[in-house]
Amino acid sequence: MTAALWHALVGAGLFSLSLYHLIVAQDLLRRIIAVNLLGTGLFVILVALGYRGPDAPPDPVPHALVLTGIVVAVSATGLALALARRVHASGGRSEDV
Amino acid sequence: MSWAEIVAATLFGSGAFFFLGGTVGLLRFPDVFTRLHALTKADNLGLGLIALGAIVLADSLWIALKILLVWIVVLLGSATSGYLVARHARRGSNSRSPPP
Amino acid sequence: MSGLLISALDLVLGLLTLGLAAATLGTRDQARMLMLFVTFGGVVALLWVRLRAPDVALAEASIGAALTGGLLLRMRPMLPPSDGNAPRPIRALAAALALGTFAALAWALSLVDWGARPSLAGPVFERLPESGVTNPVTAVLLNFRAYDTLLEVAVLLVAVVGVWMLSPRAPALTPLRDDPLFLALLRLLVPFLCILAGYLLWLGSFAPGGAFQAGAALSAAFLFLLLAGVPDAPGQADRAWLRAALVMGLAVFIAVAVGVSLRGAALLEYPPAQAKNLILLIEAALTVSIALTLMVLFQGGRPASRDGADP
Repeated sequence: MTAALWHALVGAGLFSLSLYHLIVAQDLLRRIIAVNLLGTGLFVILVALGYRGPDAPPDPVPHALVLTGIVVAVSATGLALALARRVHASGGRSEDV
Repeated sequence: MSWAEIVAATLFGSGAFFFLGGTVGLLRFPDVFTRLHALTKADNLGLGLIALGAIVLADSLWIALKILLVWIVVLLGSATSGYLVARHARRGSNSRSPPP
Repeated sequence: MSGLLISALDLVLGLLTLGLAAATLGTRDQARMLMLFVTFGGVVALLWVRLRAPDVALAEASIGAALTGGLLLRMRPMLPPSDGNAPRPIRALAAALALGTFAALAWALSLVDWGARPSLAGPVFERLPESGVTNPVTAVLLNFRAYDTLLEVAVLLVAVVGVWMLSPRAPALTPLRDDPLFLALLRLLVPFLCILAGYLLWLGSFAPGGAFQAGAALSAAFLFLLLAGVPDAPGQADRAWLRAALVMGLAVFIAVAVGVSLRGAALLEYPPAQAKNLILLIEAALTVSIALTLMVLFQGGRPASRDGADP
């Protein structure tokens, strides 16, 4: 097994684990964190696909994609937290969301 | 293995030892203050040793100075944040940690 | 190419990443969950270094771990935990779905020919001299695929608008105004962070760094000023210049896009001679807008308007 395949599998594991918790969690904060970890799993797969071993330069295109993804993830998290606060403030239960 | 590498490896090893000690303290000590004590003291020393090891291996003086700067900034940040956490814990009169 | 066997470091990093993710999502305590999340971000940053993605590592450590962690910690008191578990059949279905997804992904990944994957590295490095910069990631972000980044900046602005609309009054922030030690740290760190932001911005054209990492460093300076309760700090009041600065990144980006297209080029096809200057111009504007965007997300709502706030 190459290092790239191992890290890609770690990414797949992260994705699946977060998917489970995203569906099961009742707590909105935990769901937001699950979405973040799910995205990180995808990022790891992408960058691992661009990895060319310790001596060759890696593919920069997945790096740029992931960089974009990280910044979009933080803005999505900020928006999700504002939405979650509205849900709590209006007395809504997270089960209804 | 050159002399520089041997010196650097020794520094990295001792740095890692202090990090381990700080982490054990964080996990085993009973309350916020003793935990902070373990973290701020042991980890800063550990980071300092690792930074020294990296300086030994640095290609140029410029890189060595940058590594030194990283250490100084972390020292400033962790000293102040350690103090702020302690102050918050004391004012909140809740220095008890949650059960492990 | 990498050897046949993975190294012990790769193994440990991968297992640590998975273990921290499991611990983060598995713990019942919200505070512990957030602390583990920040730790997870730090370990993932190491993973990026290991995968030779230093640009991503910088962004992960500053934005993914530190700023997202701070954002979550700030909002936690306003989001009391709701207990209870999903019904057993749903949990079983979710577990089956997750396991199935993992199996499908693992199968697909095992089919990839890891010795000879298709790569865009060749074309990127071939055209790099025309891009105006020598850091290939910056070249992709701001030249070859600048269109994506333009839309990303638009997404950031939409997020700010969304947060301001959902929360017309930012939740109160208790300032640490009276603390001498914190203020002493601030006097050193705020100028340092501003210099660091400029340095990262400049570095991005030839080494890991760029507008996003620089924006994260600058937003840390803004957050320190906000936490210290400095009266004239950015974000203390909803002012016209704050709104203008939030929009500036996108506006400059669009202006450059329109400007070059007026000269007959494609939407973001810079003339190679001016490419470096145009990229730096866009990145400088982006740095300020991104820093303020991250600050507004941390505030979690619109600051009080000038007239309402003043006694």
